[in-house]
Amino acid sequence: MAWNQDPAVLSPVGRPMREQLEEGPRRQALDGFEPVYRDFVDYIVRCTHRIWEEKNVGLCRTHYSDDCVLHMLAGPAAGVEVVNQNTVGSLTSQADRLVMAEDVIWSEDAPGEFYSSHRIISRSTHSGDEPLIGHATMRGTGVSTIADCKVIANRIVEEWLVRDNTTALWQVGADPHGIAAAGAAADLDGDQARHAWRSQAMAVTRSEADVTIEEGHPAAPIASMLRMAFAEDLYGDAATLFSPAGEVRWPSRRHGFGRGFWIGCVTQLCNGLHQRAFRCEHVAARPLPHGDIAVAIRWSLAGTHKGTGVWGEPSGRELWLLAISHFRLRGGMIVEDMTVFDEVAILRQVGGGLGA
Amino acid sequence: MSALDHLHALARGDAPAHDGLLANTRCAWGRGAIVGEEAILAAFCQRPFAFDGALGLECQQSAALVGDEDALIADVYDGRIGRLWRVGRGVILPAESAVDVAFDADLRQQRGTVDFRAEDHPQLDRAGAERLLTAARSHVDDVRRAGMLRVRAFVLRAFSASEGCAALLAVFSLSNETSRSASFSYAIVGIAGSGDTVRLISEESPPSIWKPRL
Repeated sequence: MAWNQDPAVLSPVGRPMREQLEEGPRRQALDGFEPVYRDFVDYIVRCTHRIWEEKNVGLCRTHYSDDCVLHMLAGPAAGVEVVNQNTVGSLTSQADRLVMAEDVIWSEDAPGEFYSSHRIISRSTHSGDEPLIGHATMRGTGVSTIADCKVIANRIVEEWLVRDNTTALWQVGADPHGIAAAGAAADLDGDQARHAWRSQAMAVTRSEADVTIEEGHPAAPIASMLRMAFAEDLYGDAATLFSPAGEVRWPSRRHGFGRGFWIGCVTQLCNGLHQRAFRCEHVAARPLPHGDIAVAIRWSLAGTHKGTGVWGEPSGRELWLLAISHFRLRGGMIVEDMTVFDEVAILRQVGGGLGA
Repeated sequence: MSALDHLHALARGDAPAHDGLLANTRCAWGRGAIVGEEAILAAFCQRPFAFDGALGLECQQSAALVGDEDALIADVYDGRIGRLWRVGRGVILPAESAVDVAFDADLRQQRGTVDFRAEDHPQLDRAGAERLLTAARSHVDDVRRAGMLRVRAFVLRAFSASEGCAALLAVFSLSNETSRSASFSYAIVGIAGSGDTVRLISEESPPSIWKPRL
């Protein structure tokens, strides 16, 4: 499909929730989807609202395939019942959770096979106990998540979920290092074969080519920019696609402006990871209000942790990083980069967790 | 109702009517951010600001309210506030944990003081750009003279309106001490008419511990 097909299917950017949840006729062909969904963006926003805010968690059973797989940097989860139960758990500890769509950048990668990149900002109160952090703190939380979903006929069949877990832990007064260390210690127990996914993921990042991007697609120059930076270390040339005053928002509350700041974020990762491999895994783009363009890129890095830096002293371990970036393009240049990855899961790998 | 009406309501601590403040709005305020209509409204109720005599500016994509000691600037979608910055007194957010990023603000030997790209600001006319850049450079110079080794401003938003023009700046500074301290802060510039009145509201850059690691 062309990246800008179906112009009646609007981004959530700049639209009130009341308008987004208005019911009405279809605006897009959606074979096999429930009649309530007007278009694919509406499917993502409305089903999230129904499950999380209207508390109809059981809708997971009609919105995920039985054998769905969720890819996360802390390890995959499989099966609709796992998704369902995890959602119940989250709603128990954060009962007032609002799941607000900041954007849904989507593509139809094959007829009837949709892909969404859903950037979410959640607001909640940590009002229930949970296994990771412990007792309720009653602190307010608000964390960035990007969920990429492959969807066929009303069901999510595969999902890639990245969350700024460092910030989430800071917000409730928890220590990311302690949580990561506990996870790493637990990972050393039991059958290590359960961590095989990580070496497989690293092998894919190291061996497989970037996703093919059609000529003229708005994501093409950005994917080239990321490759130029992460694989070729040509940071200055890569950053010329950035507006000189572009905004950069990365996990663990990295927030700054300009090309130099973006380079600083990239080199923090590159300094830690030697013998580095980069892979662009998926791209999508959609029009935004005011003539801007939104681009979503899912990407991964593999490398050996040999550099002293953001993740402490070098562990010598092979690390894998899964990230999703949302960019706003204006006049052909990047004016915003909102990147999310789970840095607690990286600390867990540094600490010896998640398998060999 | 206009976006400016919504900014006035918010400044009073009232909820903007007709979804005038979008549910997922992010409001930068001091060194942190408040996310969501409910939390933003609560913060403004705690710290309303007096806007008598404030300069109000609005165009299709932006709006600004620049008072004597506080200022607001917003991204606007169909007359609704979609993103917001508050600068001035009354910061209520404590400094938050963060990973600092070592970076070079220049990438060249020819030192500029204000990073600006006209194409980022389609609703800014040439005369407004000149006035705002003059004000931004003057502010950078003021900050530098206060004991900074390096000060750079990034023009994040800028627009012209019938009543004047306005801009949002992010200002990076590095102190001129043996052990240098780095900070970002925001400033909002409002210029009335053809430059008769220039208001620039900026924040103090509170000292913070530099921690480029998790």
